[in-house]
Amino acid sequence: MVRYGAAAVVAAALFVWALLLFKPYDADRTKAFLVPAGAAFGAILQRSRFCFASGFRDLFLLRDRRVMLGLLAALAVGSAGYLVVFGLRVPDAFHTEGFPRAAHISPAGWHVIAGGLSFGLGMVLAGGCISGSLYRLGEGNLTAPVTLAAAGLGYWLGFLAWPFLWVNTVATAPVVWLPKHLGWAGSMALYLAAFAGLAALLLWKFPAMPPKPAEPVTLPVALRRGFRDGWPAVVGGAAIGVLATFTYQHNQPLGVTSELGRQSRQRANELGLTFNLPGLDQMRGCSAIVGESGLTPNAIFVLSLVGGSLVMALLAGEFRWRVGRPRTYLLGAVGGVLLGFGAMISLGCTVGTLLSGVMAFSLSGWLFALGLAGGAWAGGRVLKALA
Amino acid sequence: MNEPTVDIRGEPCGMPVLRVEKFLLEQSGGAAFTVLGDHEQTMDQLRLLASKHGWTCDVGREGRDDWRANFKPR
Repeated sequence: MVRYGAAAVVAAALFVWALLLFKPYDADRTKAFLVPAGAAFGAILQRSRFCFASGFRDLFLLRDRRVMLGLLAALAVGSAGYLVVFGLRVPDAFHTEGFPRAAHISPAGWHVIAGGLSFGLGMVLAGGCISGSLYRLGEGNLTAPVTLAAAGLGYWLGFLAWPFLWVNTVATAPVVWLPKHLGWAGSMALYLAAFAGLAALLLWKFPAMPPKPAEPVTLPVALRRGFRDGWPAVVGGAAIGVLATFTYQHNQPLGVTSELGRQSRQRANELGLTFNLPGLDQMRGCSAIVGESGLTPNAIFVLSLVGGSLVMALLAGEFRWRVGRPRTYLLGAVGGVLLGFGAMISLGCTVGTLLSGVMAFSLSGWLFALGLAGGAWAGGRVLKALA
Repeated sequence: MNEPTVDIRGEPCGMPVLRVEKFLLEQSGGAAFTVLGDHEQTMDQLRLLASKHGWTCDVGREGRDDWRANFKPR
């Protein structure tokens, strides 16, 4: 009973926080909206175990296709949702100047693939990406803070590399937004064909899970499936696609690293470390922009994510302090540095660059996914050697 | 006689299944064994692993927080 009470207290705290942030006479109600949005994102990730590291790693190591199918569901639903929002804002994709407001459409150069490689390797070593570490924080995982702190250090390495990357790729890389070339219908048709093809490949080449013993669906069984057992990843993915559409409608594409990057940059400034970061503050995506005071929208989203995950973990009886073995912390730290470096040079992570980039029809999202797959494959080889 | 037990609690995500696979292939000698875990998703993956190698794997709760998987050759 204690855990149900604790879940109710955390949920109530999130609700009150959203109310406090809500200003009825202010046109910008984004901050108040981001509390339920972040909590919903954390709840979905926790319940459906929607972990990008697991999605890529388990496909290679275990031939487990479930999370990857969930990722495709998220991308398919989210892309359709983005298309609706784009259509309301940009009547003619072919002849529009610039790109839709706030969408994560960024330069598609080799730096994104390199970032994906680093991020993919890091997430497999750490046992989770940035969003995975955040939702596991809500489950009481004590490796997650180590991974996130190490990611802050990884950002510093990314800042060091940025001037070289800016000159050699970022500044000159093309920004490819598919609807500008194919229009709305052409872009969506290409996407649906790609998602259907990839899903068919997964269903054909990778085995289904052995069936669990059948049981009649009664109310207790339904409640157990909703709040105790994990949700199917495809359901979680579709829910994330819907949520991504709503957050983009509020000009806040899903993303979890910009606050981490900002904190990392501020800590560096406080320590007297100055980085030359040409063009970074003008980039779209989850870039580390300093200057905002107080809680940024991304900080609100991320804190709410942890809160939402905590509520669901408590309800499911899955919250407990998970101490882990020493090797877990070491891998978490090494993986975290790679995660931070990859997220910095790619202007986001699996959420901000992969999910929000692909949903926004940006080529950069696909390049990141390509790098991610290579990095996750390499990470799998390392894990196998260490097991 | 007690079956050998592989304890994968507290391991980083992804590693436990690889450890169990290594045990199954190199140390089990084809005899039944038990795995103790603390993560539902990992236990599900153990069922997939068992099926891949032609074994059976029954997963159930162990105490309040943990899980137990019984591996047996078919």
